[in-house]
Amino acid sequence: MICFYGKDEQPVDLSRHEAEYICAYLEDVSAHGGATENKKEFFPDADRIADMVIRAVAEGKALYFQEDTRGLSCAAAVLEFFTGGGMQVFGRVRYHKGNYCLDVKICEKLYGALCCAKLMHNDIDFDSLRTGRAAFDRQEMISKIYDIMTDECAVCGGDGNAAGQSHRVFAFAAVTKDKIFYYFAAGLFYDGFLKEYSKDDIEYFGVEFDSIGNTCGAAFIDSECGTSFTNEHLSDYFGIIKEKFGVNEEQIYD
Amino acid sequence: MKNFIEILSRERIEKMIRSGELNEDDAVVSFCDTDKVPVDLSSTRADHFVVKADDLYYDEICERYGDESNYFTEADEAAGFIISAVAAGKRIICQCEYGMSRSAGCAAAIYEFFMGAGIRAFADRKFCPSVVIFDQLYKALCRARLSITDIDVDAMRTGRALIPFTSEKKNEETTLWKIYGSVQKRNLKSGRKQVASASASL
Repeated sequence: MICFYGKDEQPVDLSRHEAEYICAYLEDVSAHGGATENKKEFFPDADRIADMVIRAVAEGKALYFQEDTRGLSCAAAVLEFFTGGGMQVFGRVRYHKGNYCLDVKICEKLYGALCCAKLMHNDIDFDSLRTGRAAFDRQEMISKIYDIMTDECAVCGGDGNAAGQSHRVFAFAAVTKDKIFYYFAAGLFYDGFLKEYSKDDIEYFGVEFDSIGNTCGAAFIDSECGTSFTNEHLSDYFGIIKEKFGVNEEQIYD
Repeated sequence: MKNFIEILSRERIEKMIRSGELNEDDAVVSFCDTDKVPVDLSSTRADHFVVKADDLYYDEICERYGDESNYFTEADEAAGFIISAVAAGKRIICQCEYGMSRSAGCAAAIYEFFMGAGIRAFADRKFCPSVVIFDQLYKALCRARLSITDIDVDAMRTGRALIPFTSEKKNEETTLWKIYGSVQKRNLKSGRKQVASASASL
């Protein structure tokens, strides 16, 4: 059970129930209403909730989100992460009746926290937990991103010109088998990377897009979490990636 | 390369019309308030489809129309127009007064139907997609998929929109993006390096 309460609200008392629960303090501010908190300070319980959600799903527990906007936005993130079905919430008319209003900021923050938590839970088999549109094959994803980079390289010539022409790429991130973390802003030096590494030499691969109109219909895709509608979490996420893959050198082309 | 779907305001599209930026490779779905004159696209070579629908919240729609099914009644025609335009490799331009709600709802339905990527439009803070427009158009696109017989609609669906039992390799090769991409490649000015693999054959 995940409950929310704001400044003038009392948290629901669940202390006498056996259900595992988190009561999180979070003001109900619409993403379109101009919340002023910075990304780090906003929704600080997201990591704790993500951790609980992942363990609960792994244990086969049912999840309950209390409260309209905040709970609904979290439910959308959880559905998107585990089934790719976030649109069941975003696009469903009945969730927009009356006072229901999705908060994109909450949804993005929890989704990002779930992606980060996934990297840290080595004891849980996520491939068996993620279904439907959220399921993907890791090696196929690396291959797909490699092909995107190859396309981009051919258009850009590897020298940064006409960046992102073909797939509207913003940046690539990779960890190779020699434990180097690479980050390439669009159009920069792909050619050298592609000459040095084959698909089999890449342990982790991700690509961030710069526009909604890209070939994958995503903000970010990678070989760990698949298709993501947001890229707001990437600064923390790449830090965890480096740790998880035991990176000992970084090459940033930005 | 241009986006294959654009979400524009009235002001922006009128500017594009004046500067001659719209051509025969564009298809415009133009949403217009019921008390306003639609954007005049007659001077362009772009295909266009006008929807007369005010920008209303769900509760307002129910109050004025009884329920949402009586709002955006042109959805089926719009879906046919969009599918034909996508099959022809045209850029789809969704336009409404401010380029935020009705047009974004329309774009979200197109993204969801063809790429399974509607959530990107809903999660983009630049927009506040009309969920009723999204819902009506998405359902209409699904109906059109069943009723249109001269276009292989499934062959144009890609990414998360691929239906598992039809997700054969041929679908990978003839995706919406590649159809659009091939048209755009044709239009690229000479002198820029082009990629044969990116303009995959249909």
